[in-house]
Amino acid sequence: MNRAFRTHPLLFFLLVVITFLCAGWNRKASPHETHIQFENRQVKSGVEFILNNGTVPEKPVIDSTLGGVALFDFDNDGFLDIFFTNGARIPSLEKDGPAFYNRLYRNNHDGTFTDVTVHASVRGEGYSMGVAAADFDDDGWTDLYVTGVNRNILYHNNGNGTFSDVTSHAGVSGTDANGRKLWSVGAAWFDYNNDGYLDLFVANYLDWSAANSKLCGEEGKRLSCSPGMYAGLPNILYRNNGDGTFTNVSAASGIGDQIGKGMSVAIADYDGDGFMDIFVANDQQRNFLFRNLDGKKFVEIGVEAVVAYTEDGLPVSSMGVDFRDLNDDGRPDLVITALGGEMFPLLLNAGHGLFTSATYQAGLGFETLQMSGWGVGAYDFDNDGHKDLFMANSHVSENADLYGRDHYKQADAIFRNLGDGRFQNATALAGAAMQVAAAHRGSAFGDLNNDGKVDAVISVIGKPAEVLYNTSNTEDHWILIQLEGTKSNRDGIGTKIKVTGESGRVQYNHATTAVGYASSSDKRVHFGLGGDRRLAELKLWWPSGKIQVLKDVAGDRILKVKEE
Amino acid sequence: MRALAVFAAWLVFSSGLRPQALCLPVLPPSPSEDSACAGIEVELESARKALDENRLADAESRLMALQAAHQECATVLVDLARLRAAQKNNNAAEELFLRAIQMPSVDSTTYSSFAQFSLTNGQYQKTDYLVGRALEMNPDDPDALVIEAQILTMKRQNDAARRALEKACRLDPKNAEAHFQLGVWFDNRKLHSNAVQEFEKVTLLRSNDPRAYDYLALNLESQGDAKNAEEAYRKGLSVNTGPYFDSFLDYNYGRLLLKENRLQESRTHLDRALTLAPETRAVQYEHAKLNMRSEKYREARVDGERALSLQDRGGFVLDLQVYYLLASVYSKLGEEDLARKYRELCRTTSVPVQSAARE
Repeated sequence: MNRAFRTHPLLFFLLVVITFLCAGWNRKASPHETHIQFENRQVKSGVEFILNNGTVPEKPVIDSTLGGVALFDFDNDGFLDIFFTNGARIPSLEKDGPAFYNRLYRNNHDGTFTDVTVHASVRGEGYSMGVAAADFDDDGWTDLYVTGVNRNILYHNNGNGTFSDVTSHAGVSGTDANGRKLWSVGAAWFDYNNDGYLDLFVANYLDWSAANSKLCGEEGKRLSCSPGMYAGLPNILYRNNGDGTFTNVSAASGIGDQIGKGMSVAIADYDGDGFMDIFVANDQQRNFLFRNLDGKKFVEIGVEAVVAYTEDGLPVSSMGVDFRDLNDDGRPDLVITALGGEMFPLLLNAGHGLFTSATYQAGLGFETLQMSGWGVGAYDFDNDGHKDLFMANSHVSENADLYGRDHYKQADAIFRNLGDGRFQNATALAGAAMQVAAAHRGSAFGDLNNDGKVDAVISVIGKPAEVLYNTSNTEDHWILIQLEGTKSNRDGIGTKIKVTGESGRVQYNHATTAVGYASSSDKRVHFGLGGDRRLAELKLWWPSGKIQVLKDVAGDRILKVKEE
Repeated sequence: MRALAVFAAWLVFSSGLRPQALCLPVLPPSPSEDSACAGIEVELESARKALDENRLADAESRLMALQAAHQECATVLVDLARLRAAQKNNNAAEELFLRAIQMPSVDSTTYSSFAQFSLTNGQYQKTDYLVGRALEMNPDDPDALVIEAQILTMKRQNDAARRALEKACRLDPKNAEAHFQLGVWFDNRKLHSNAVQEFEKVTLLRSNDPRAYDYLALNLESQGDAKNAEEAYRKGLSVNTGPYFDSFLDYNYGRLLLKENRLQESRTHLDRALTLAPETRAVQYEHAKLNMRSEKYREARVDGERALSLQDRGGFVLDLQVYYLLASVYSKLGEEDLARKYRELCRTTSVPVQSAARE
């Protein structure tokens, strides 16, 4: 070889040129060259929120499961603001100081945020867990529902930068028929009966109290107890009466018949009948899929649909969930986070009411086996036209490392959708922020700076929250659809959207804020369009039953669509 | 998900699968035996080699000759006992061990060999006594420490068991069984990276041990390292014969292949696993899953129903798992009544709490 180069320098030169050109061609042709990347701009943002679980040496089970985050535009300025839930003192479960306040940060449009918690009157009460944001009274201002161990609060957005606690008036305090407050974690706004008003589903977890709290692990290195040590609880469904009040329809609807250990809830019309169905991620118990029977009742069909357990017929520690069409076949699929040693189940909706496990075939099985996940979101982070997966990771128990088996602090993970049914772990290339091991919990997704790329905000126990701006080096196109229902609920939650790019590529998504772990994401619906600058068609199936079609729609913009 | 490694752990302790006397420690004549056993080293070595290679007739003739010439040598009696155990003549083996420990030349290794024999035969109280005697005579007897660790594990004195195994490994770094048992200890506690280290050592020290490869693969799998797990399974299968034969290596490998949706390859191994262990629920269940995935629903039904009929002593495949599978199988076959029955069982069957704490 060396002799050839000496003998034929021109040949060597040509070889170098050809090699270079080939490399260049490959780069252009390779679908893997764009890297999904995130940059943590927490310091610059001024978001100084630290998730405070008020932990004590006994490590009661409540101190590991908090941390819901919401991304929503509370002041209608067109930019997403951030709301964090927070813990409280243990065992009083009171927010006895600012370190325990829930926090609202207003987006200043320049990458910075201002803490407006006190002015907005949303500092909260009790040991908070999750949050769900939506405009429940159709007044054009997004409201908040905050769940917790001992207090659930519905905040009405007054439209002037302040909120009012309307929990009692609305009748959504999260208590059972005997007035006992149930420990709530996840919540979801959706219109189950398509009457134009958003109803509220509350996922309840364990029958825990300070009095029945158990000790697990060795003294001096206590661990969070397994949910098997406590009884489960029924979930709650509140029907919106349209007058600022709600009716608890848990019993009448069939929702209350099931006792679970619910951590998160996600909604989608899995069977395409025009009514939103409910998936509840239960911790070490079979998951629930509540099929909506024409907006009148629900029947739990997790076993029938083959989503109750893993392919091995066992429950996992289901934490977060996203219920979204991952393969653009028009049917919403499920991705669930769980604990180390369990892998994160991926369940593909095969139609005819059945799901099939695709965890290992998709490349998520072995890759997630050592991860413990909380938040999860299926978004097209690189705008290539395929929804990717983001997971916010951490073990449950703060003292896990002392037992040598697992790590409490873990890095988040990003899995790139290769478009052929497989996902590739792209974390290593996703930037320094994605390599940081921390006690991540809830995550909310949305476009913080309206640049067409989906960002993420993650709460972290004991550390400042991560404000992850999407800095992916993509030049692919996108569209962000902001819905306004008229006959349907004003947020358009539940609207199914089909986009057909100018190339003919078809994608599906639907409007929901119930994403991931106990968190609430941007209500706007994002699509990456790949190389398509325009949409040939945009089709919407509103919850009211109306079907709306827009033709020849330009991309790379926020498109407001009003129900007609 | 239940760790697959647990399954392999059970295999080692299950009497039917563990090579009987052939895995008893091979003992050099101890110093105290010098006079009684003088000059037998070469012939004894040949006899042991024959024994290890399962040439039992050859071993017998050599050992009988040695015993006739050295009637006071306890080591020869111990090897004869090993031979009888290999011949499945446990009564004779027991008698020989009893004679050996009454010899004046008895030492810790005689007791530890007897203890190993008793352990293999499930005589745990006797093992406890014998290994205690061995360690009284020599607290640094690595083989005795390895046996003691297994007894301590049964007594749930896990930390003490680990210390004993680590001491054995320190005293005799080339003691494959010490590393093997330490690997099992780690495996049982899902300390996968530690387990991998130990089983890698075993595969170097005792390269003909398919169980070590099996364990190694299972622990690599648990770490998400499917590629190296597959390599370990393949190496294990290439030596899966002789005294350490592992009936479940094909099962575990077939299971990995099924996860990867390599159905044809999986079938090759799960078919073989079914031949090797037809009475094992886990094997029947996995075969049913393979048939389900292959859309062979009738075959899946047969496997699934068979799995349900089998006792599962170790609780490796719960009734719930079989119910969930059968519910889908019956549904696919249009047997709606049966499907409904098993779906209801899936709803009402509770899952045992694996662990109180989230470690």
